[in-house]
Amino acid sequence: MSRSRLLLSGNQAVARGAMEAGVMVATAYPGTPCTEILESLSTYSSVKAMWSTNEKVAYEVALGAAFAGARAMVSMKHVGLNVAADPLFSSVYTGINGGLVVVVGDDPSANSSQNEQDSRHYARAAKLPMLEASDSQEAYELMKHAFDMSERFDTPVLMRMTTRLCHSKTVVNIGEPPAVPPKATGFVRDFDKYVLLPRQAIQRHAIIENRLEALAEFSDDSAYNRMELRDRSLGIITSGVPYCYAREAFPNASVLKLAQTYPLPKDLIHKFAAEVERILIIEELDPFLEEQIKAMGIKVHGKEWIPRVGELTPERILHSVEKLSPQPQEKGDTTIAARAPRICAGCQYLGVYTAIARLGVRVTGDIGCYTLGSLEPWNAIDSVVCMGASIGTALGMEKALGEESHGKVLAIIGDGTLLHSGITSLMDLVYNQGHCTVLIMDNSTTAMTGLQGHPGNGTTAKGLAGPGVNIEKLVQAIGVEWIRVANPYDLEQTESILREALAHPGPSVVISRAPCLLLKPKTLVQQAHLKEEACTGCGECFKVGCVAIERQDLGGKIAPKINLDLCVGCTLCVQTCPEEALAPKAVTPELVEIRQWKMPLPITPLPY
Amino acid sequence: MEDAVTNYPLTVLIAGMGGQGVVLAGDTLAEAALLAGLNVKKSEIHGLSRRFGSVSCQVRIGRDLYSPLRGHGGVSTILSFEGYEGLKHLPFLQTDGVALMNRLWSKPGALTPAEATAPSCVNDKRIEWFEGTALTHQAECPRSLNFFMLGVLSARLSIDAGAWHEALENLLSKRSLDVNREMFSAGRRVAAAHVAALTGRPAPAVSAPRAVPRPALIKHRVTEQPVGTAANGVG
Repeated sequence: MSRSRLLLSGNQAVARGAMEAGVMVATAYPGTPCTEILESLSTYSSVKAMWSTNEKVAYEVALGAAFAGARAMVSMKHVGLNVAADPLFSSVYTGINGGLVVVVGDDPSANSSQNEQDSRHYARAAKLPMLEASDSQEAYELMKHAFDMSERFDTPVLMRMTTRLCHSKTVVNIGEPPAVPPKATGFVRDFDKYVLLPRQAIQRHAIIENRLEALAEFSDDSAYNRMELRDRSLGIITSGVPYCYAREAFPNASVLKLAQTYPLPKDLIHKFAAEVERILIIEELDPFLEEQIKAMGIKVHGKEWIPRVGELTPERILHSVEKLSPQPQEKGDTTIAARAPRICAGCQYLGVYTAIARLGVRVTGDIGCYTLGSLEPWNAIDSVVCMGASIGTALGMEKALGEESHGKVLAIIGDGTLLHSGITSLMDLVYNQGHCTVLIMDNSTTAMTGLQGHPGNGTTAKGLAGPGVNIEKLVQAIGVEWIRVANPYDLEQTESILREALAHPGPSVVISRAPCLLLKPKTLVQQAHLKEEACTGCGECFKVGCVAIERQDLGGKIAPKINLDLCVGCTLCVQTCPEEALAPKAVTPELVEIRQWKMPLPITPLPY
Repeated sequence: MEDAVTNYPLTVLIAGMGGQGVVLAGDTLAEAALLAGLNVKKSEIHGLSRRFGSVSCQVRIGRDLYSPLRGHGGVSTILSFEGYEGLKHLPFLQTDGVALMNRLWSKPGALTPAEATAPSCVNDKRIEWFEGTALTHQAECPRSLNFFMLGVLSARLSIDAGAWHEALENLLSKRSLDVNREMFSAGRRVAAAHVAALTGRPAPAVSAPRAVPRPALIKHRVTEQPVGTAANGVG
């Protein structure tokens, strides 16, 4: 398709802009909102696109490529930048060779995240320039600008996105791929630049401070920082997607739209302040611009009106300013329950959590689909903090509680998360002679973010197959002596292995292994069926928490109703039934064929 | 909302559950508008969509557009694939907006039995109900509900049929194109008849569904919906 006018998401636009700018090496760790950046980049033959084991590794790989003289980029979600913060700070000292752009996706409103951090603070803390786009066209253009800027000032450039920008599609007029395939210019040894010994670091620090001054001046002249003068009674300073909200809410106001939000274009801001009567700063989350502009001695309004928590909308802005007081977050009809995400019908986690719920132990959790085990009906997870935190927090709890906690603390972690950042904690658990059990739930993929490959399954971003990490051998090499593999579709076995593991003195590891059903759907051979007369309404089957098990009133007893559009025939519910009222029943080939066309959808009878 | 063209910029909010094809329906609407020469902005919330969570997206159509989304009171049309999801988003609807809702109830938090009480907003005058689930089940292609409802919406927009069909061709695989095009046309016919009944004017000219070879599984044709029956209100 040779259309030049495309509807692209912010993520796709960033990928397109980077490709046209001649990016050669791109790395990332998947995470909402910016997983699709690397997925888009992997479709371009000129780009070496790679999923990395974690964000720190991703950053270092991209930095190495930049050292070697290639244009490189790395993308990650906001909490991933915390993981990559170490190389980020020091790479500002070394500088680059080929351009290096760091794309970070913040998640205002924490749509799919464990916090609502404002990553703009990283630009100021690490002393690197930052760009923010307000729509896909600008994101596309800014990527080219970012690479040029990176090479001109010998610094990594932070490209800060938000969920709204990443997941919104707007029209982009695209250009052409580079005429010649990108090529690295080569690495030239420069001891004082690339080797950060203390003496070199101090010298480099001085260079950074001068660089920031030059970048501020550059920002004053940047075409992407734009003064739009209309009605002078109100001037708005804004950046990113909030620019769009501001234009929608106050179409007649004058606006200073900033694309480079660190270091700020000070002269331009003073100039704007002289043109308008009152200034309102519209920004999401923290008063990042506001504090800096106030420090310049300019009187502005900002966070006393504009909410700090949650994503903005044009309506929230108008509401806040008109009422001159902060507004609570918008809520829909509170009489309607939120629709919580559910674990897929027949997922291995259903078996694992049904077993865990019977154990009565403290469970430290981790990040993945399995985090949903913290919800009803299992209530099987007691803490979720960040990627890889389960094992460390379990060890800490055990050390604090002492002997009485032995056999009562379980850490659960997925295969992807284990390799991302759990493995170092597992080493720590062995090294410090902890008495916890670690349950590794191996589904052979990064399920929550959309089935990306990882070192455990060996599939690369370009779709190449590799050997994959052998988790048993890895765990064994670390020094864990008690290791068992459980079949999560055998409830009794899973429960007894877990009990054995918890009773074992010293560290123990249980690996529950079954591929993610989205990756490898089960062949449908049977489905659960209810013998109505045998059911006593005891409710044991509901404890499996399967979406295919709905409820029905059978003459006063609440019995299960199997949704045959959803049931994959895993038999977990059958195993829980003490009366054998649930039994597997073979399905006909016709049903299998029809089901491929049927939407898997839980349909309940009309309530009224 | 009789003729959308007089009301640009127009903001459509599509709401449903994970698996219902909300995002694809939004993409198709955006593509059709783009092909019709309009400016488009689309935004979506889909972080947990695969896990039966709520999914919604907004498509804004017009010439001068800034924000990719609107907040409460800023949406002109809601297109909802499921009852609770539609009702939940009613606060977004302008006072003179319209909510085109598919009749399907899937109680949030399916761990509890469906209760017999309806949220009070179910009687909101801005809601128009369509039997999308029943009709697509009858045609044995319930997965095409999103395109049926998109057809319902299409009857209210001044985007010509050619742009719609090109958008369908651009976004759908060969395997699913025929079925979805058929359901789109069915929704368009049902809604056109509905609009005609409401306004007392003849139905606007809507292209007849193309004669397409139908997959063996599609046994029944969707019949025209009698206007003024159960489709108009809550049964």
